[in-house]
Amino acid sequence: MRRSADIPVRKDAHKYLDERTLAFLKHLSFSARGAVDGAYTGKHKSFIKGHSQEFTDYREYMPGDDIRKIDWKVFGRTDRYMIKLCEQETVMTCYLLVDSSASMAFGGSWHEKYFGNQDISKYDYACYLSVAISYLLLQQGDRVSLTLFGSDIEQHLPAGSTFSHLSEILNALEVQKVRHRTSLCKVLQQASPLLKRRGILILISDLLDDPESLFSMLDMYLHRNFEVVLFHVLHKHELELPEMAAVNFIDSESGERLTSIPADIRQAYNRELQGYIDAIQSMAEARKIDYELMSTETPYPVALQGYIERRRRRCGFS
Amino acid sequence: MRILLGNIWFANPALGIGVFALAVPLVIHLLTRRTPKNMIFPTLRFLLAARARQSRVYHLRHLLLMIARTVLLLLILLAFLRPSLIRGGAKQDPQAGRTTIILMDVSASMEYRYAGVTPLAQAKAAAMILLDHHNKADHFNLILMGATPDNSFDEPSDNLFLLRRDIQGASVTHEYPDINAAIAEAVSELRNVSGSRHICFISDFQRSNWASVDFSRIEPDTELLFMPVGPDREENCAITDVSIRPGSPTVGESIEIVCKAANYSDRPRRLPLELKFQDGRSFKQELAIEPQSTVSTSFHLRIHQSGQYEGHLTIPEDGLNVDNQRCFILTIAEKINVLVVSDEDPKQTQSGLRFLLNAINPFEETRYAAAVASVIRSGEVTAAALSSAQVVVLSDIQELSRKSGEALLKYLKDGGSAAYFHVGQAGSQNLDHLAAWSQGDLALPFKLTGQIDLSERKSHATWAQGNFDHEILRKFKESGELGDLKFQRFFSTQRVKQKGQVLLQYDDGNIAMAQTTVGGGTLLLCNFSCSLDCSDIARHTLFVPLVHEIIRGLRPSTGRRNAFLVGEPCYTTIPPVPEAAAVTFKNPAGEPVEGSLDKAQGGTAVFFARTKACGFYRVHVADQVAGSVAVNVDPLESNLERLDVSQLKELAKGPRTAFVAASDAAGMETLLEGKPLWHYLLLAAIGMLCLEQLMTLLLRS
Repeated sequence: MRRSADIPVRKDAHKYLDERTLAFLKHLSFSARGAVDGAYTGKHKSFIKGHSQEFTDYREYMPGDDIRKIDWKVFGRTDRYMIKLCEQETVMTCYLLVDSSASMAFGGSWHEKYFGNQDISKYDYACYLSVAISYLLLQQGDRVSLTLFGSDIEQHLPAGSTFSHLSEILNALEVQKVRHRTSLCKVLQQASPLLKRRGILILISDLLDDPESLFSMLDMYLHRNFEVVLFHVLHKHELELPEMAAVNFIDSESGERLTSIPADIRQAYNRELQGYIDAIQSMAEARKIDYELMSTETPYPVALQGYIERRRRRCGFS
Repeated sequence: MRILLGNIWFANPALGIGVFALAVPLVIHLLTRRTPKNMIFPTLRFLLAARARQSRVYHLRHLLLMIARTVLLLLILLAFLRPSLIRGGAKQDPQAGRTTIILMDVSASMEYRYAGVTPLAQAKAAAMILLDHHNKADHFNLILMGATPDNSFDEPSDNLFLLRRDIQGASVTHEYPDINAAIAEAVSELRNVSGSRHICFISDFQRSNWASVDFSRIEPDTELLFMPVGPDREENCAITDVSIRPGSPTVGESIEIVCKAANYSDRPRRLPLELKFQDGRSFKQELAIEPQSTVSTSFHLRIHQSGQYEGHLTIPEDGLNVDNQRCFILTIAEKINVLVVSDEDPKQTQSGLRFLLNAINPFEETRYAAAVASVIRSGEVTAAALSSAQVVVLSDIQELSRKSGEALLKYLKDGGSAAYFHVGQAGSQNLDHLAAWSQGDLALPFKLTGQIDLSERKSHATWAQGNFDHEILRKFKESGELGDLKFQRFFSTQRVKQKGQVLLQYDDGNIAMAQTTVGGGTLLLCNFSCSLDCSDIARHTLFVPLVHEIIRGLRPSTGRRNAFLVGEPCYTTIPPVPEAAAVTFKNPAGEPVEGSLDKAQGGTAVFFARTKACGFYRVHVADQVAGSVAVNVDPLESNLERLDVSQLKELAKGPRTAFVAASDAAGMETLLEGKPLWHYLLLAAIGMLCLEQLMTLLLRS
């Protein structure tokens, strides 16, 4: 049974729901790269062989099999009872883990304070991205779960496939306060029992944690046949230090301070940051985890579209 | 106005106001220091890591740049202050000032003319430059280094006007400089002064004058400045010596005037040598002298009239004229003048003096005599009394006073000869005293160990051994009569090996006659007396010829005895001067000078207390020249070879010595004003500017 949007979402009532963006994303589809686990029939490959147009294999009939699955043409030719196996298609469950720690607040009002123009914070960017992905998935009938976390899981919405669920997601994202320190490993550990079905785990974060520990936790999900996608969101001023005079840098989570002139330290900072990004990227590649570095400077629909297209190419979809 | 900071003079201290400019980089640094804005920044960990990877120098670059710019300004400011590093490492008290004693050489060699300039003129200019670089608190004194040091002031003074006048008025004295005395004077003047002490030597540093200078008496903290003057290579030819043989010729006797000339250059020279007398007679020769060598030549002549003759030897003029001529006095005596010194009464029949005088002149008239004797007592022995004597005979004298003994020794050292007939306690003591007073110049050939008196035993001794090769005894070799002489009283002796020459020995082995030298003179020691109480020698027919052979043998062979050098006192004897006669003393230029007369037996001694020029110092009696003395420059002044800087350093041995040639104006300026440092500072400033630019570029990149 396919459930469409029986409760239409009021698109102008939510901060993170932009009509033009949704229109832009309307023609995109987000597919699972491998087989997923789902209770309902959907568009995605399932681990369970079932009734579909997609033939996969034959096997000998065994007592207990449904006799309707016997391929009689094969019996006529070979005089053997062969069962025709077809792929089961099911719905995909996507678990969105959105970082709402203090570091994700970077940008936004702060940027306006110093630079005088509007800017988008990392959290906002993550929210826009989450909503867009949710919309895409819900549109194709998949299930979406949302987990907001700081140092702990702060809010968890179980997977849902209706547009009213999207509304819940929007509400959850909007009411969430960015605070606390990032503790990705702890959160991933806490989330493990909450993510019951195999699906796609999309982690949207600035990933300011120990990469070794992070990937050791992600390995656990990979072991459970989850597909993991990392959206590494960084602000443009994190990627390139702003042109300012002396700045007293204060760590958003620890409160640690450093006074310096960005111009003096820019080059070295870039090297350090690039080293970190490269490390994460190489670890992700080693585990066949999709890794996307996203700058808040890039409009999220463009970034998302780019990712989906790359993903499709990698999966061999035409 | 200049200020002194440590060892650095600042010629433009007024520009020190620019020190405020040093604050400019600091002010700019503080002004451009921006107040940091707080920024919440999530990726601080990368900033911290980046910061940790950057070097400390990078973090301090603004401070380093500020320091570099401050140093740059400081160097420029210092360059504008015109600093100079002054010589010496000792602390200098600008209030006390410097005390400088200028020792200027005024010896004859400073008159050497080369390209129209003399070293003395250069020395004066150098001394004036020294004075020109004085400071308010500085004191100076000038000592002209002559035979005796000649100070401008009793103690260092700041009266530079008089000092400049003295420097301008300094002239060459032709004297042999007593540099040690000048140094002693300078040291005594500097002893009680405060502030830094300097002695500045301005000289040609002639090797012959400076090689034996003793710098050790100079206080170690006294700074020595050597300023050589004169050309580096000097050529000079000189007449270095004139001697007359025999020393005191008599009328009609063959005379040899021996002249020694030197060529102190690196090329052989041929020089015409002319001997000229005051009456116009002249003799000429040509000398060929190899480089750096001397040559002797002789003029032979015979003069048939007694008297004093003033003679000149000359060679052509060269850079140093004073040594191109040498004057001498040729005294032609009628007889050999023998001065007998005795305290005996010649009227006593047993007196040895009586027999001695008769032996010297056996004739009643002097017309036929070969020698004439004059007698003085031992207390009357003075340089003047001895000056006219060709031979001195001492016989039975009392104990000599120190003054008399030293006059006798001086006479002997100057080439005189004496025979001493000694017997008795006084004789023994006199020999001991003479040996002691001579300070090693008199080495007695024997020691007197005691008196022997054989008369009590009615016995006698005879001469048993003789050195008949000796000039005195040569004629008695064949006669054999010397052994007939009988001696009752004499001294027992102990031979001192390798000292003197033994001529006669008694049969008991004691020495009867021996000869020794004292400086340029000869002393004949006769261990017997002519008195009849002691021997019968005076009665023997052998006595007269023996006395005459002694006189002839002792007569000086050369006439170097009365050679006087400029700066020394000189003397001569003239015939007795009438009481009422007007006596004047004149220098070679004919100007009156100080002199004194000392009337002695047989003549009048004339003294010139100090001589300042070469030539003849004359004594005029009633407007007639009664006598003259030849004064010449010291031959050591003729050799112009000089000590180089390393040799002077070795001599001075002090760490605080500086050398600068007086002709080196820049060197003088540097030495006196200090080494200018401004260009080094400017160079350093340029270097610092480059460094600053480099730092800026590096830090920006």
